[in-house]
Amino acid sequence: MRFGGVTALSGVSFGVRPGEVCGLIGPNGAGKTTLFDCVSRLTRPQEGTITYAGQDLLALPTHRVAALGVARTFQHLGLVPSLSVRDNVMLGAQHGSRAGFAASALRLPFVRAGERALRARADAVLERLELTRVAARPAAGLPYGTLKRIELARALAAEPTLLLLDEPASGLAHGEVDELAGLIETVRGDATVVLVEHHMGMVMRLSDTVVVLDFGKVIATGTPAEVREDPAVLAAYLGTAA
Amino acid sequence: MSLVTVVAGSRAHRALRWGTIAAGTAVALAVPFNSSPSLNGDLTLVLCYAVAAAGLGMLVGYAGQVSLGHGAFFAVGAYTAAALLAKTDLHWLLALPAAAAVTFALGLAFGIPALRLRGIYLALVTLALAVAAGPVLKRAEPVTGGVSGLSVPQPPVPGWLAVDADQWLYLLSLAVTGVMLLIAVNLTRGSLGRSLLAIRDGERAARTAGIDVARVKTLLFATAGAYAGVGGALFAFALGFVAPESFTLLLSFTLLSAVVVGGLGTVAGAVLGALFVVFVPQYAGEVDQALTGIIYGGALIAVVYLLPGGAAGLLRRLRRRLIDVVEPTPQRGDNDAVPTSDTAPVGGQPAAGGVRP
Repeated sequence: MRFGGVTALSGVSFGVRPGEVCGLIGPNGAGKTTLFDCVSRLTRPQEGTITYAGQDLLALPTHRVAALGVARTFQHLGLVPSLSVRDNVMLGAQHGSRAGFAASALRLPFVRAGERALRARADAVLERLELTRVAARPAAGLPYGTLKRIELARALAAEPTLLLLDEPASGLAHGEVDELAGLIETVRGDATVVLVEHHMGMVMRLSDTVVVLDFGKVIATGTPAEVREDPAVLAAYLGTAA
Repeated sequence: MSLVTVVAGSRAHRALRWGTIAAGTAVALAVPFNSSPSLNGDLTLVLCYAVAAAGLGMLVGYAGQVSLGHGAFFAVGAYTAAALLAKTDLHWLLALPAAAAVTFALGLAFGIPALRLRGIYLALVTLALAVAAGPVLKRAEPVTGGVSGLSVPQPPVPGWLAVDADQWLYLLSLAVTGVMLLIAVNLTRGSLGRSLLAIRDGERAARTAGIDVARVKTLLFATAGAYAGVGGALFAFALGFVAPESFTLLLSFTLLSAVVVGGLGTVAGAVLGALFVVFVPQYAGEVDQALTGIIYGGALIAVVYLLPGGAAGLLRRLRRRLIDVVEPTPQRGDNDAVPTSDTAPVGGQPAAGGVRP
């Protein structure tokens, strides 16, 4: 996968190898979320290319990106408050659904079967993330930490091959962050993970590669150890954060 | 607090649900044989509006798109059926799919540009459609009969059915309404139902979940149009006559108020809302002819203020007083930071999977 020359970002170019966890860090406003928005096609960069699994993402309409196996979470949550927790997770999993208007109107057998399969898949993810108890509750009104987990469940239910996590640890309690890190460990291998996170301990522990963005430019790339020692990073990032 | 507690999805829960549906159907079937022809006529009208409101309800209540032009689709459906029956030998039964097809196509043609608009802009553009409908119907005289309208040969009572004409028209409309409501229920559950709510409440989530938002919106707009078209065709059957004055701008607002009064995001609400918009003005007229508008308007305001979630919401709360539906207890994986079922949503809160905004 390669990103290149993105708008709020300029001349950003880096690759992520299949199966690795790539930490994407940088001060606020560095362009991390914008970069995710470009990959999930919520915004269109004026120039550059984004390639995933040999497919030019910029040539695809937004709704096709999910079918390629790209799933993401939102920093400020992308849940549907009026849907139950289970329905939110099923929403994440339904991108392959063939239930269009005509088939749904008649509730054809394959629509029912698809719905049962989706529900089973969602319930498995809910159980894995210990959300079974709240499955039937509306997403609106649950505690923030739980919502973050539902957000993650929604992305995982899509069974992604590329998982974009936008600050999954923000707002979580200390113990929850450890749990989250453990969970991301278990996803590794099934999916390539790009992790945007301010929680440095977690990024350094999980990442195979770390990419540092500042003012829309890549200022360093390397293993966690290399990046930690990089003078440019120390000046631009750690200097301002600490 | 409830009299009975049942587990969601259990046999008792299913029995209750089917029992309610069976009882409702039995009542709906028994009514025409225990009322007057004029009341049957009014109830038939209720069904016509209920079909149209069910379509509009999907658009407004689920996808959050407001159309002020639904009366125009109703008119086009009525005229399509009327013109086909008055000018060709087509069987009346085929006039229904014909009206649906024409209004669906109109909805597609209109929906494709309209989907770029949202909120107040879509409302205004559809309003233009409603405003234009009347003058167009008056001008297109060769097809519509102009100002004097068209007489429609009504569906004759079949020989094997020993009922009066008014009872037959009611039963016919009831059957069509039943089918249309069932389809609406199917469309608003499952993947498609989730897609609609996601489009309304979280468009970014919808798009990243692989939903083709533009396509779903357009098809839904066309589907809502087709519902109004079928409602209009039933209306033409029921009255045996169509004329432009039946399809004023007010009709669009009547349909929209039926949706809101009935309850946004519920299919059953369409019937309740249609009952309201047909009968409340009538009773208001009986109280005082001069004050009809004021009484109707007052009732409308009262419902909006006093019944959040509309009539369907009220019914749901009443039902919850009697029957408490609980989720099956999870076996594992339930060590959660969230307080347990005592805080399950009650009163004004939407139920699980509930869709009231």
